[in-house]
Amino acid sequence: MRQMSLLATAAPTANWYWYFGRATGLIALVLLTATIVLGVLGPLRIFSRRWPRFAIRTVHRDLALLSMLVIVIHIVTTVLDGYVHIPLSAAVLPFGSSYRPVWMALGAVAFDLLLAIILTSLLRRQFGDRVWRFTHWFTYVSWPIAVAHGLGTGSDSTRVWALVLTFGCCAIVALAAFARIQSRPIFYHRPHPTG
Amino acid sequence: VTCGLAPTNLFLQGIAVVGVPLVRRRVLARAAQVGGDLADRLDVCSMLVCHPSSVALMPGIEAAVVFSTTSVLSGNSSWAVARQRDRAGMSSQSSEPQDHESPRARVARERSAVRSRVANLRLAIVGTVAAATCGLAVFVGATVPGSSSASDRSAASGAVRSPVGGGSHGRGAELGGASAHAPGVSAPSASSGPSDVISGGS
Repeated sequence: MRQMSLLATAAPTANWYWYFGRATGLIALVLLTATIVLGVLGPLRIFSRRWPRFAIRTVHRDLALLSMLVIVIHIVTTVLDGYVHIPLSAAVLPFGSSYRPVWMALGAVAFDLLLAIILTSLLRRQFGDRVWRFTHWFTYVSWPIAVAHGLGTGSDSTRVWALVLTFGCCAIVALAAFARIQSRPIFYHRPHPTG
Repeated sequence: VTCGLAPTNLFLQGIAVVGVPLVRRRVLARAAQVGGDLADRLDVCSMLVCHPSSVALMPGIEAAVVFSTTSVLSGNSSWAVARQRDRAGMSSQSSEPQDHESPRARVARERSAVRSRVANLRLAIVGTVAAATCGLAVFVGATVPGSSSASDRSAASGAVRSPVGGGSHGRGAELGGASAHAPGVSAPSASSGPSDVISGGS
């Protein structure tokens, strides 16, 4: 009986779901930023002999999968936190929640786009390069939508440290995008055997 | 409070003995020890900054801290060991050129060394993310006004986390009045709000 009561007290309260929901939201922002920066800078010649292109691509893929895992934890903790009723379907269906419908819808749209990007990447051989490339362009849409979702509905979004983190991520992505735009498109070619 | 620590350490030591090569076994054992020490310190800190209900969760938090610290340290340490061996040319995974080596063998060796580096980096990233998530959860729980205790929460309700009425910031600020009873939105009463969850948890 005592064990039962100990288990009951050790079960996460709604507050802990709330804390972990907020923490995972912010961590997901950082991970998505790192993923995008590696993806944006990938076609530039940032690789070296110690870190060749396939290694950077692998880290990019691992970061994307890890950020998706963190986002799933963010969704689950938000749904489990029963302070307001947010159905699980609201994670993928825009306007599926009556709680802050616009901001939650932005989160759902960003999640749907990310899901599509990751699925087409995992099944790239089945979908083909054109579909994969076309879907990957949606990264430039989904990331700002996710940032807007965080700024709009994040419990810590008005705090200085959270603002510094968010706008720091924005600046890093903007710099990476600027570097990508400034550089000439690089067409990979094998060096000619004779020269 | 520290009951979560012993099983976690035992588990890590078990992994260290059974499944990993000698170098990583030592690294993992050392990392588990350092993680345990860190968790002991965190225990004191968390008791000072968190509300009473968090004490019940401390074993879980400690286990997470031990696990993530172990991941970070073992990832970074094995990375350092790999680099050291790489420089000394001792390992079969060295990227230094060997004598009488065919180009194909050299490419395979270099790719293997890179894969090892990526695997170590992956371990370090996962550990860092786990540690940062746990740390951030404790941090936001301890620092946001109104979440540190039931009385603070009720005083700051609406400003931080109130689904009904009041407050221009935080959750539910836009759900005031009649819209609070919209379908799908629960409106906790005074007897069933999170304040009671906190006091019940303690």
